Amino acid sequence: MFYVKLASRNIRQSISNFLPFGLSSVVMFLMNLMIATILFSPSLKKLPGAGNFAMLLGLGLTVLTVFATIFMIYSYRFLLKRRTKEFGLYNILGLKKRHIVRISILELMMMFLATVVAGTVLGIILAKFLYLFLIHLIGESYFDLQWSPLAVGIVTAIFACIYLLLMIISNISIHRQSSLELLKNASKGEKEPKSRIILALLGLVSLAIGYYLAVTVVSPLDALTKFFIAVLFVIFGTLLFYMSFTIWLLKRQKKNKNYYYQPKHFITVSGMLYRMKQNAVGLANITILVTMTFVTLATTVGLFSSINGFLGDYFLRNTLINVNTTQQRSIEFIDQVAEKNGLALNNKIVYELSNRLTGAMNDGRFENKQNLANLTAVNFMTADTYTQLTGNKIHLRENETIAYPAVGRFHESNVRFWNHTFKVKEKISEIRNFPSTSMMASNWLILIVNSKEQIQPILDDASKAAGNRYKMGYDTTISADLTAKDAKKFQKVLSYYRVNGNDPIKRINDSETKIEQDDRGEAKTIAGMPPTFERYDDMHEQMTSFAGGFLFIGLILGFTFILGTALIIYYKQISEGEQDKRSFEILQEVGLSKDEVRQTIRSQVLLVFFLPIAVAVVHFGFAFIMIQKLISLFGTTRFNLLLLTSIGTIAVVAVIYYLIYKQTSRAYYRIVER
Amino acid sequence: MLLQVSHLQKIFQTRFSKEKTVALQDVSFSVEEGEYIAIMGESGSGKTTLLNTLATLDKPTLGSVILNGQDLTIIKENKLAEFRRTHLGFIFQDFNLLDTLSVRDNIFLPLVLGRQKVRIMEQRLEKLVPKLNIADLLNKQPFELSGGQKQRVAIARALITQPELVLADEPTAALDFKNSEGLLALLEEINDTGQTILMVTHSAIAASHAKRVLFIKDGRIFHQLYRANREASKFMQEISMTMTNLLGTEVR
Ligand SMILES: Nc1ncnc2c1ncn2[C@@H]1O[C@H](COP(=O)(O)OP(=O)(O)OP(=O)(O)O)[C@@H](O)[C@H]1O
Ligand SMILES: [Mg+2]
Repeated sequence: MFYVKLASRNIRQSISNFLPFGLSSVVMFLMNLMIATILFSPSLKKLPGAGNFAMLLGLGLTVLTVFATIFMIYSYRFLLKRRTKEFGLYNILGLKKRHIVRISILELMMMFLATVVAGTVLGIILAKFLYLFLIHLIGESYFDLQWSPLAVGIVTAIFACIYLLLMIISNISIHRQSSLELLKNASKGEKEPKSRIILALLGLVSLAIGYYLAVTVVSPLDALTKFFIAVLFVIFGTLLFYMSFTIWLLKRQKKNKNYYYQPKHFITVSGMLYRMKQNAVGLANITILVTMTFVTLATTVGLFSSINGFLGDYFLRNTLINVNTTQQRSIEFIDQVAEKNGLALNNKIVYELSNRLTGAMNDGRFENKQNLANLTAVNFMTADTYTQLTGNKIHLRENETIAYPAVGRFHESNVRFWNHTFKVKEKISEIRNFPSTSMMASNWLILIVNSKEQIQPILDDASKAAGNRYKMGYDTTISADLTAKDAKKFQKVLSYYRVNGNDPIKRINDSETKIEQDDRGEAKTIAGMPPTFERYDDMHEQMTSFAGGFLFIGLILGFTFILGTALIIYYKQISEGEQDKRSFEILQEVGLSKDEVRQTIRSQVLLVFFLPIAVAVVHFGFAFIMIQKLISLFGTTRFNLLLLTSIGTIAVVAVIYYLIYKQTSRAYYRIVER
Repeated sequence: MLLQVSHLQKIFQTRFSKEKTVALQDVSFSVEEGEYIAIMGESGSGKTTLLNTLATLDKPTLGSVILNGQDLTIIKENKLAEFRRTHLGFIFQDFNLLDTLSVRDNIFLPLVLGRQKVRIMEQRLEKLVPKLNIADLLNKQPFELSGGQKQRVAIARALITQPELVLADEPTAALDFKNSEGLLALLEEINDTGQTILMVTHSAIAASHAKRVLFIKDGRIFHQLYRANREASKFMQEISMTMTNLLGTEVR
């Protein structure tokens, strides 16, 4: 009981030490609880695309848990460091280390209970609010978010593990130090860091590799695989950059006597150099967190805001019908069915493409490889179709082609399929009345050739290479405006038909054979497919719910990252304030006026403020290239919009960061000028 | 006359209580150029308060401090730092060296703040180095030095501005006997070259190296002794006697 009293008294007495720790604990708990509550909500299953969304939430929860663990350790070590003196005093006054450990464990248990209680209460309140926000984003109104004991239980369990880890850390760190060390605190002097050219170079090289990976992504899927590798390189490079490159730079400045021996530079350079070793990790953390905030927010905001543009590019009309046969047969069939059912198709646009070839495009050579990094889908279009769409006449020789890379890049002057080679006569950047984006994750290349005679041999070869038993041919896309009622009816009617190339179109009595669940593989294709039917409104609803959920998680993560940044900066300011307090007293005695002190502090603080933001912006600049590709995985090509939303998010985050800095600087001034 | 202190009074009043502490009461004395003065008194007698007032770190309640014809008590707040930098040198009990700077840079500090040229800084340092025997220390960091070494560095920092007056607050308090002796001898040597020094201390040994000793009790100066040409040890005996007789305390 004595120890319980002592522990609770400790918390109450040094509340200023415990407050930041408690705050980060509650906030981390709250954020985890938010996501878990949504994840375990029974109405989640009712959402369209619930599986995707649940997966995203699960991913978000994992990221948050890892982040919370790292962050709690960081906060706790800070707390421990500030309390070593207190513990040392206990030790000298006769408490055994065992007892001190017991006190610190009791303290942690109290903090844990407080966290769970406060976090749950706040969670229930905040959940309602966040829920409304989520509903607004994903545009669903039947989603009912309830307080879920399961979610609270799981998050509590996660935090119990984290606190257990903290107890172990406290135990180890108290046992490791002798009582005198405990008492003496961390006031040991430190030798000026050596500048290590090799580390500096390694840091720069590591950054360069990360950046290079980002710049050279060729397709959305490539971006996905390279993203994490690039991130690792950049994190490593950032840390080394701060640890060695900045030290090297400062040392160089110090060597330049005429620069160094000026009042402002003198104090700033020497001060920064002195604590660069401990600073490096802090600055790297801040930079990485800020970059993470940028990337998370820019990606999710960018994705959400580009849905409309993307759908506009994809849907030439409000309804797309794709029939797996030639244009002539398709039109006949569709018109006939529409007429029989009294349905009106307005503003029709029709085009025919060859069946799709999917493989790798290497130096203009198509290879039948399903290689993720440079997966490309190729469709052939005849010159006639092109003319019919655009009204422009073109003349192509037998071995000539016009390339239209709708998604991705294409720079080759020749393109080769097995032993058929085409000379690329021209590269175009759009085709009128033709979508400029696809629903595929891969690159998409349209090749316009003179006639079907050039296409068929390639299709036959492709079919052979893939080992297919059926013949490849053509499919037709009909874009038209239909009323919602007509569209519904039409979709139902069409689902009874089976189409496969030149085979006769069949009508079956059982539309219930769900095509997506039919796992007969090739046989299914041979048996024929119903025409596919896509509606703008359906797709819009689906994508909004997906991207909205994504954005929601992005905002929660972004918010948590910013909060983490705030706490790290706060810790930094407090601990540096305490170190600098004595220095500034001495400086004033030796002859630095109050104003000059303030100026020096400001320039020092400003540098530390701008460095992480500047580095984070550079990081983001390279990440942007990847983000752009990643988003085009879900389908966007709107560079300007993405750039705009990115700049917007950076500006918002920078302003928040600045406010945090302003606020925490006050804590610093208060300590230094006390 | 270099320094003229007249009718100095300092009253501390804490914000939360009405209670007043009179730390200095009608203190007057003067210092000639080239003098070495020790101000002695027991703990709480007002030594540090007096020194801080002379150092312009604290403003007196009443009275004036005139250094070379300039009244220090009326210098504007924003000019004080510059004044300290150019006219005064400080030696503190706990050295007050900056951990962030190397020994050399610690010594340069006041000159850097005064925007002195690098060449002049180096010239001045060169002259001080043999006197203070700090040649080997220049490239070290303060935490690598012993107390005595630190205090020598602090003296170098005080002297490099070529101040009119060096103020020392218990410079030997943090040193052991041998280092104290060395330091006191060093201060005497520095004084021999014409440097005016004013030191406060409660140690009779330290005071005995000065040319004149002022005694302070309860914020008043009420006696003084001249060393004349006596040995330090002889002078010390008289100082001890004075302390016991006049102040009614044993000297430690
Ligand atoms: N900032 C202050 N506020 C209130 N009272 C003070 C303050 N500074 C000093 N005093 C009081 O003024 C008196 C003189 O203090 P001072 O520090 O000058 O003594 P001292 O002679 O230097 O003592 P010591 O030898 O212990 O250093 C003491 O009674 C002290 O309590
Ligand atoms: Mg004192």
